[in-house]
Amino acid sequence: MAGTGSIHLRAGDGALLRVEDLVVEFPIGHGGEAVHAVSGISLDVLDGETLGIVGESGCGKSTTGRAVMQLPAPKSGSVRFDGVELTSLHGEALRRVRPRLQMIFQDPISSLNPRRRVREIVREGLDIWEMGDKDARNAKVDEVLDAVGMDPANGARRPHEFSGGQCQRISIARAVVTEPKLIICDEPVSALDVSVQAQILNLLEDMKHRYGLTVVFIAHDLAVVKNVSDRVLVMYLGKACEIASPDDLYEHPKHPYTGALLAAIPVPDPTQHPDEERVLGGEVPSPIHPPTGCRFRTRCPKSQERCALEEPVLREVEPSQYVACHFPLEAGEQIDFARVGIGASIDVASDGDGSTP
Amino acid sequence: MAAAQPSGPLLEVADLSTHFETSRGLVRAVDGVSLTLDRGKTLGIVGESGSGKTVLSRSIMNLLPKRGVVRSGSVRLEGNEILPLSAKEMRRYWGAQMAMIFQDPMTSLNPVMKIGKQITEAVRQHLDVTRQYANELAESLLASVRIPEPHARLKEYPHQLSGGMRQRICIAIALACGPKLLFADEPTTALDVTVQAQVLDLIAHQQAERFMAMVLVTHDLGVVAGRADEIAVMYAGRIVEHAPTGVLFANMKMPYTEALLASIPKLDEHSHTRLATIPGRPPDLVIPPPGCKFAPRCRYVQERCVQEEPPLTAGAAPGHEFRCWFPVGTPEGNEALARNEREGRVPQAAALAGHA
Repeated sequence: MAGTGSIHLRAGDGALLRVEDLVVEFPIGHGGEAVHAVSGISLDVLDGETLGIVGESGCGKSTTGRAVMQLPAPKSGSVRFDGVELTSLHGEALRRVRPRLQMIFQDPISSLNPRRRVREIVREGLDIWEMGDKDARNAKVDEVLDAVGMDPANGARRPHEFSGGQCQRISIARAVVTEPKLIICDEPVSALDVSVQAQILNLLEDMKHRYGLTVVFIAHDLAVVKNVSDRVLVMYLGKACEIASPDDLYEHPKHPYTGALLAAIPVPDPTQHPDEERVLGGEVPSPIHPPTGCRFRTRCPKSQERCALEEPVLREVEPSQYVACHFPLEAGEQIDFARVGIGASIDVASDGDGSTP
Repeated sequence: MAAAQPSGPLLEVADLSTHFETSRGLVRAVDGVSLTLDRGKTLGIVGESGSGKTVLSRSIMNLLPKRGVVRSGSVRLEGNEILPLSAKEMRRYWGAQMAMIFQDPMTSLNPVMKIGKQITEAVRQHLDVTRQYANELAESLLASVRIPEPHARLKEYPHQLSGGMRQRICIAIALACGPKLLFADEPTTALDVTVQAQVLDLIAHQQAERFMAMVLVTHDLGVVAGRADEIAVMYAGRIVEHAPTGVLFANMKMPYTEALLASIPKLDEHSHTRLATIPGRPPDLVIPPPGCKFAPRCRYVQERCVQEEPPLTAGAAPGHEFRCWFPVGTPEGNEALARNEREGRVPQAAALAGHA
C-alpha cells in the first residue's frame, strides 16, 4: 500500500474539506527518529458527504482526523476547510474556526466531564461563543437533547448516571449544538453493543440530515463504515490503499489489504464458515521504520520485488475507484493469505527495516 | 481429582442464580440458568451489556467477590458438584480443569512480571515439574499460539507487545495446564477485525487439538455464528433462547434474538440502509418488570406478555428452547405482529424514548 498521490481529489470548489499530502510525525528520543503516523494522505469531502476512513489500529486514521482539527498541527501538508487554510492559522484565528469543526470520540464515558451536569456539558460551546442570550441557549440545549433522543428533563443529571449509548448521545448533542459544518467521528460506536450501535448509527444519519452536516467517520469495522459512508478511504500504516464508493469497494475490492479486511468480518450466518486462508496474518510493522516501497508488502501474498523498490501511486482502475497497488486484485480474485506466515513477514520486515536506504 | 467419567456431559449447570446485594436491593444478575456442555463442544453465550452473560461464566468458575453475593443452584464438572466449594478448594480446578480468557488483554496481565513467569506460575503450581521443564513448556505454548521468537518473548514484559500478541499470551496462560473447559469472555472485543479473526482461529485450533470444551461469551452474533456448536441467548439474567447454531439461525423463535441479529450492519446491504434497532435498554434487575422481561422492547408484545412470564418451552427441533408466548414465524407470532401494526401499538420503551 502505499500510496501517495492525489489523483482521487475532485476538481471544483464543492469540497468542504480538502487535505493534501498530510504528514504527521511524532519525534521519539533524541536520535532524530520519528513515528511516521501519517505519510502523505490526501482526501476531500464534499458538502453534505460522509467520508469513511478504515484501517487497523496504528494505520493513522485517528491521527488524520486529529490533524484536520490541528490537534496537533501536521508536520506538513495542506488542510483547507471551507476555503480557509487551517495550517496557516494560529491562536485566536484558529480558535474562531473550531465551533464549525467538531469531534466525537470513541469512549463516550471518559469523553464527558464526570463532575458536570449534562446540560452544562452540552451548553458549554454556546456559553464560550456567547451564542444568543441565556434563554436562547437553554432553548437550543433542549432542542438538541430532544433531537438526540434524550429527555431534556434529565439535563440536571451527571454522565455516570447514563449508559454508554446514552453518553454517546450526549456527546453527539454537544457536537451539534454549535451548528458545525463538519463533524469528525473517531470510532464513535466501537465501544458499544451491537444493538446500541445501530441506534447511534441511525441517530448520526438523522443528525446529518437535520443539521446539514458533513461527516468524517473513522472506524475499524468495515460493515459499520459501509452503512454510513458515501466514499471510503482505506488506510494502512500512514498511507492510502484504496478510495472508492462503498458499494464498489465492497463488491470488488482492488487492494489486497481491502480484500483482507473484508474477509475478516464475522458474518452472522453459520453456513458460511470462517475461512482461515483468507485471514490476514502478522501485525502492522513498526511505523518508526516502515517498510520501503509499498508499506503493505510485508503481509501481502502478491508482493513482488517491485513492491519493495517502488512505492505505488494512487491510480484510477475503475471509474471513481482509486487504488495504490502495483498488482491490484482482478474481479473475483481470492487471495490466499496462508502463503504469508508470521515468521516470513517478520523476516521480510527486518530486511526492509530502515537499513535499506 | 475424582476419576473422570468419560460418559455424561462435561459441565452441567442447573437452576444457577447469582444475586448481588446492593444498597438498592437484590440485583438478580443470573436468574435460574440451566445448561449442559459436552467435551470438545463450543457454547456461545450472546447478549447485551448487563444481560448477565459475564456473571454467568464467572459464577460457574466461582470468580466472584467474596461478599454480597448469593449463589444458588448446582454446577457439576464431570459429575462433581463444585458450587459449594471455597476459593481454596477451587484452586485445584482453576487453571487445571477450567480456565478463562478475559476481554481486555491490556489489563489482565501483570505489568511487572515477565511473560515467561506468568505462564509457568500456574504450571509449577499444578503440575509436578522442574523449572526447566516448565520454561520449555512455556516456550512451546508461545510457539503454539503463533508468537514469533518465543524464546526471546519469555523474558519480555506485557507492555512490549501489541494487543493481539497480549491476547495470545493470555490464551497461552489459559491453556498452560491443559484445562478441559475454557471460558472466553469477549476475547476479541478489544481487538481489530483482522486480529479478531486471527485470535478466534487460533482458539478454535487449540480447542480441536486438545479436545477442550469452550464457552464463548460475546455481544456479537456474527462472532459465534461460524464457531459455536450451540448458542444460548441471554436477557435480564435468563436464557431466553437456546439452540444448536444452525437451528437458531434458520428458525429463531425469540423476538429478542431476531432483533439482535437485525441490528448488525450487513455488508451486502447498500450504504445508508436504515438499521433495525431495539428501542430502550435492558430492564433494571433490582425491580424487573412482571411478565416477559423483554416485553417493554418487543415488537410482538401483547397483554399476556406483560402479565405472565413465558416458561422455557421446547421447540420443534431437538435441543431448541425459548421463552415466548408469541414466537417469531408462528401463526400466533405473525398475528401478534399484525395486530400491533394495525393498532399502531409500539413497544413501551420506544414510546418512552420519543423517537427510536
